[in-house]
Amino acid sequence: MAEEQGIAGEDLLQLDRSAGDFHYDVKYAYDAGVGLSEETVDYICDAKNDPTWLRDFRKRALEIFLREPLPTHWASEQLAEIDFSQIRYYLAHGQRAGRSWDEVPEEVKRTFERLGVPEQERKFLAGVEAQFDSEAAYSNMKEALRAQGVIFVGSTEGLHKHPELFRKWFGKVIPPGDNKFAALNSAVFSGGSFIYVPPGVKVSHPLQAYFRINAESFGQFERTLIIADEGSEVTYMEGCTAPRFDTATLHSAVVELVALPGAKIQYITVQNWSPNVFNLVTKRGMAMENAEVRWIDCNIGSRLTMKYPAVILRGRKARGEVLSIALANSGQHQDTGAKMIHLADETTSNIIAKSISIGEGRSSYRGMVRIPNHLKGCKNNTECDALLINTSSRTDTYPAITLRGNRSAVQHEASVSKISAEQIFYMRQRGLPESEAMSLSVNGFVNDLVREFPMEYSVELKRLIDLEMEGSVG
Amino acid sequence: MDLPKRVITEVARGESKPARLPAWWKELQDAAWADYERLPMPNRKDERWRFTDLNKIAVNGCTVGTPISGDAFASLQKLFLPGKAAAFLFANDSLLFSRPLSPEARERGVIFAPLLDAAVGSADLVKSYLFEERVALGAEKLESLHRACATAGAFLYVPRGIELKEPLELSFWLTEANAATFPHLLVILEENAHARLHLRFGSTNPKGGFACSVEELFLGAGAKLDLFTHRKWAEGVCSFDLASIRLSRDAASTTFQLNLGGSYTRTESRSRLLGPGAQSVMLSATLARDREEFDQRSFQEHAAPRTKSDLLYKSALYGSSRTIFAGMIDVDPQAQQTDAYQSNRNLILSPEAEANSLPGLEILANDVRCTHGSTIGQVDPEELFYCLQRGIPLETAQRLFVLGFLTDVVDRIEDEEAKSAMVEELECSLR
Amino acid sequence: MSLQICDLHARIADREILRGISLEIRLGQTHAIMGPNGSGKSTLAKVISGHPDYEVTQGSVLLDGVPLLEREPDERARMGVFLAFQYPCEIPGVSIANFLRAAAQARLPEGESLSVTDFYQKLYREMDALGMQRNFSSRPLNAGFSGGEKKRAEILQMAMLRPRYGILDETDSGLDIDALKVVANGVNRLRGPEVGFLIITHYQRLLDYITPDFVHVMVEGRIVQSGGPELALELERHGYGSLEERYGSSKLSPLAETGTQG
Repeated sequence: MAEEQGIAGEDLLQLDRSAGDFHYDVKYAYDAGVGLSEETVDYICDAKNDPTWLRDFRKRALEIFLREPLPTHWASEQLAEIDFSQIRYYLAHGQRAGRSWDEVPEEVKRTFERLGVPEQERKFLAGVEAQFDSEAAYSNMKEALRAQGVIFVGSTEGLHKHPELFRKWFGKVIPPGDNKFAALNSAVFSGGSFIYVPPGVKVSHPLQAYFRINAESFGQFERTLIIADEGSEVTYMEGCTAPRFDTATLHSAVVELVALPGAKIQYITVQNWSPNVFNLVTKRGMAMENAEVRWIDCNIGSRLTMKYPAVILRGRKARGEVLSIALANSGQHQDTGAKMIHLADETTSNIIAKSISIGEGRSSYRGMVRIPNHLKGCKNNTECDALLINTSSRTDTYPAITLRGNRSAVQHEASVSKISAEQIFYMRQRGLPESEAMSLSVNGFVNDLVREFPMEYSVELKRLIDLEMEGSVG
Repeated sequence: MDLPKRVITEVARGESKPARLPAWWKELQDAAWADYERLPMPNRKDERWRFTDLNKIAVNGCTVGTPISGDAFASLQKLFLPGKAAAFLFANDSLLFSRPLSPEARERGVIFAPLLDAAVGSADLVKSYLFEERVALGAEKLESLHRACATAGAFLYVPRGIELKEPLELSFWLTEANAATFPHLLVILEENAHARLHLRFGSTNPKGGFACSVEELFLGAGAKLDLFTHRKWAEGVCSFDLASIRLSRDAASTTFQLNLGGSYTRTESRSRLLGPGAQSVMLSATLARDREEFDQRSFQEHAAPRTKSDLLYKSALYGSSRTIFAGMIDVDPQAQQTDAYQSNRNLILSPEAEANSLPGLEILANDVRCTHGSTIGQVDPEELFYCLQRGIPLETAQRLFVLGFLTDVVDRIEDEEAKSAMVEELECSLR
Repeated sequence: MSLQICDLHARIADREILRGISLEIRLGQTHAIMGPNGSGKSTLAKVISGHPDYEVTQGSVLLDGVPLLEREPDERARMGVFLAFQYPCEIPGVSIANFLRAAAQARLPEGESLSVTDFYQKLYREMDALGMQRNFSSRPLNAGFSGGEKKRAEILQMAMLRPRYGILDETDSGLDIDALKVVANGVNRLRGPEVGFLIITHYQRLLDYITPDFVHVMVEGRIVQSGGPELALELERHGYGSLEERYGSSKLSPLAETGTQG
């Protein structure tokens, strides 16, 4: 009836992705060529002047990657469409990131200016790293933080200049054998951030990384390791965009967080890859006694995203949280979720996931919560809500919960709904056009989560949601 | 995993089963046996066996047609309670006792007969429905084994518009540690027909045995079926129960299972809502103790508009028992205005017990109301303390909570008689 | 200048509910429509505002001479029709203030943007007048509101959006006498030569506080009697019974067979 007319839509692909959809021709000083072999890994090691242990680590990881099958027995068959032999694994301008924007090559600088990165840096950030394809082009942090002993550098600089800190945790939270894509990243990783916050230091403004893919048929494999020492606090934000190409682009990051006793790490992502990007990311944090790891994750772009941020609650009273927003439009599959592994008493975790499927978009929630034997006073709460906009939209929920013993509790609730026709009529009666009424409803649906993002991001998010909603009303 | 040999031997009391088997059925058996041998063993890589302790699926050479001892016969005789209801009692797949349908019901065209008799007497009907449905939630290999071996069981046919007032009773027993049983229930309810069935599974021996039962339930437009299953196998029994219900337009079914005992019990239940307005209520109450494992998989398939499903599975876990609930609500694109609910609640009473819950949704239509919830928790320590403070011993207090927790499922049954029988059984088991 | 309803027929599914309504509300006038349950009063409000469930089969509605019926609901709203809903709908996550800002912005010409300070000044002024706490405006619209709060939020919206024609659909239902007074005062403040009102009610009670210029009685989808405020009092004394007898009781009506409610 009326509802069908109101909500069914045909014209769903005319999205304004112009914000990130541009690219400049860039001459790369380093290019590992197309395809992946031991030689590719050697090329990367040579270019980056890797120590021997890392070369060995990369080669072991490559073996695992080549050996492991694609996880299509549970994941999307679309993974099979990635042709690993047609991807360029390493493309870089140079090895050293500029400390000021003046040192950044012209086209790269223009790119980030167009994306508003320097402006945001001036306004509200404590530090910025801007990665262009395989390497950071710019990396800088406020002097005051440097004086407090905070380290915020690229992964290469981190492993060369701070080997004792880096090696202690690198690959420990997510070993290369964790999954096929973590292995791939371990073999060819480049870029990403290394952050260390000394005991008791509270970084009040966010540190930000911006990941930009510029080249076609390219794979970006950044690697981030954040260590928050005892009682310290840090917020890290990442944004990502890429131009739209006809060929598949691969983004496969590994992010490891270590929150030592009493530390707090908040990791915020706004993912807006173009719809040709396969975004297959492994993110995991370890929380020691009284520590807290929060993942705030928003996935709007990409063709297929598979991302399940995890927290290993290793110390007593550790807290883990995943807040996730996913928006899947036609041609997109947002396969996201969360993992909470409780390994100590009185650990608590919270997952709130909201997804919106538009047109023929598909969003899936996969969750895993484990509370093993002999633990007491552990709690998990999970809420997943899905909103379906059009008749052909799809959503799935696949949680897995295991609890052993009678001294802990787990709770999972989920719902699927659509925007009610009465609600839309009510808003239209107040004079709002139908598309605006829909946007308002959708924004209302995710509002409690959007509020968790820093102000600057929440405004951007609202704008992105409005853009995605355009054309969803037929 | 050691599965039973396909041995269909002489029946305890005289007649030979294979001799009575029609040729078409024999063909089905042979094909099923080939399937059984071809299909792979369950393995952990298969999502549908996630969390299952595959080591518990062991049967150590159980066979069909194990003779029934005099003692067992005598105790079963006592269990075949006098009453009006038409009933069949099988032990080790042999039909021991039966009470026919009332003459009135028979005159109105109702058929309730042992499957083997029906295969001859109502050959066309049985032939067109038998083994038509596959539950296919993981145990395909066992389902094939069932098809290759099953001969025991009953056929119920209720013609159009007939509402059976009295419930029908059907029970299957194991009497020996090396006995296997393959109970089959085939129900066909024509348009607007109503029926109620009590199904019981149990052991007279203290330990061991293997069971693999299949229920195929076909509901015509507006038909209504209540199926109450009471399962209480002996320790060491490994059992599978695979049930599928097909519901046509406006048909309604309520299934309830009470699960006790056994060492590994896997239930697979599929409700297929194929006609607009069809409704299915799926209820389960499980009391898991010692090293028992209850592995329950369900599928709510919404294939037509305005269909409704409501699932509530509750388990109370003692000892080092384990439960697994893996449910899926599947809403097809054409199933607009679906109303689906799925709830799994687990109460853990011991530090060694483990509950696993996988409540899933796959929704391809947008005008739907689908919710699911899953909890795993303990008795509220405050409530427990309150009872202790009133002088109630810990165990009694826990028993009260468990009884309350599971009775909540039983309360959903409308049939007062069945309800009180189930509550009584629960109370006994908790004593 | 008027809202002119001419021989309006409308149905939902196959049931005809409005069976020839004619009525003209001029600016500055307040009309009340009374009638028994199921007479089609609420349907009239929904049809004027363009609810998609109803189909107009005959007749016209002109707003200041411009045909209304082929317009979308939001266009009609921006042209000046405001409906205070009988059952206002909940919009989780969207605050009253943000909702009203969006609605106010939608009324500005393209390219022009709302002055946020002016907006809040106006909002707080209206809220004060309605005796509402300021923090009320940051609550999600209607979500978890009591019946009285919902109706007050409707009046607040009407005050902010300043319609040319306000339609109140059983705004008095479920209100206690204090809440009723607040709502009535809110409406009376808006009355003036530039605005017309159509008040739909089952009871005379609301009309004690908002005195209408004209009262119409609706039975079975038709206006069967019109008069001044005294007609409402008369109805209060005699009930709808005699009118139903005279103009077709619901028992005799073809609508009764399908058990319809208007």
